[in-house]
Amino acid sequence: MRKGLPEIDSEKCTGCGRCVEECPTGAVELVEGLAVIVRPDDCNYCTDCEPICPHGAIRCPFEIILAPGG
Amino acid sequence: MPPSADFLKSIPYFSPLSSGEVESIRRQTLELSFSSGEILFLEGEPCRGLYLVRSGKIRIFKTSREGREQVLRIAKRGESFNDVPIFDGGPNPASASALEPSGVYLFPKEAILSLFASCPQALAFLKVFAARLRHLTSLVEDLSFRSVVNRMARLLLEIAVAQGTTLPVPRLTQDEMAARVGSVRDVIGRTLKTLEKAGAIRMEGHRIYIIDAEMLKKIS
Repeated sequence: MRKGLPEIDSEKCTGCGRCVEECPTGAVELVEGLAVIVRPDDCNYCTDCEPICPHGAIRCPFEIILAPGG
Repeated sequence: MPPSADFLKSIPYFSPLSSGEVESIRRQTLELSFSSGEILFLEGEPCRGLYLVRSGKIRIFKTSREGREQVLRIAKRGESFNDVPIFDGGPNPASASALEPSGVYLFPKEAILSLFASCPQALAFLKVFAARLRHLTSLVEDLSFRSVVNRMARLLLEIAVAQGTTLPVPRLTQDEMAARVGSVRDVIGRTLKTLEKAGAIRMEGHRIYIIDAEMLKKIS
């Protein structure tokens, strides 16, 4: 099953690095001045990066699914 | 005694009417009196017509399933109420009771609608506006009576898509969920944890699985 990752809008990202500082698992880094999830396996989708980004460049949407038998 | 033509003409709804139309409305008007605390009508009942306060004060309110009340407004002399169901055809969206000894005029629904006989376009517009106003009234009810946990449970039930179907799966950030239920992101995070702890949902990475829809229904 596809692993969900925070979505980073490269148009909005200014490369300020706040998300890099705050990511508790070190999954995000700046690559050529833009935030990138460089270690996707380490991302646990805590969504902490979403409100931290001062430019609203990071979105962490949730899929809402009715489980079988739910 | 029916209202005077001058009184009717002083009401914004009726000010543009011709003398003939005013007279027709006047003839069909009922005059009712209520003692303090007496109920005029209840939410959910069929609409009898448009009401206008002649004297006293009328409390317009919603009642929750648990019996809590939320006052929407107090109608005073010259003010109308129960306008919405005239135009959208639905039941009374709220209840009304007299706050003090009061007199009201009741204009039967058919009498009001007959004013639009020659302009069905205006009626079509009003129907849309009335439906929007009814929606806002139900939003007030939702925000006043229901906790964020209740509203989140309802939202999840409303938008969830069964696993494996071809329908697009809804994707919402916590900010977007907050906007939908009238709350803020931090509260949504805590609410999701509460629902998970209760066993209604399971959070897995970027997915929220509804594992007990019945429980969510009870909470909503």
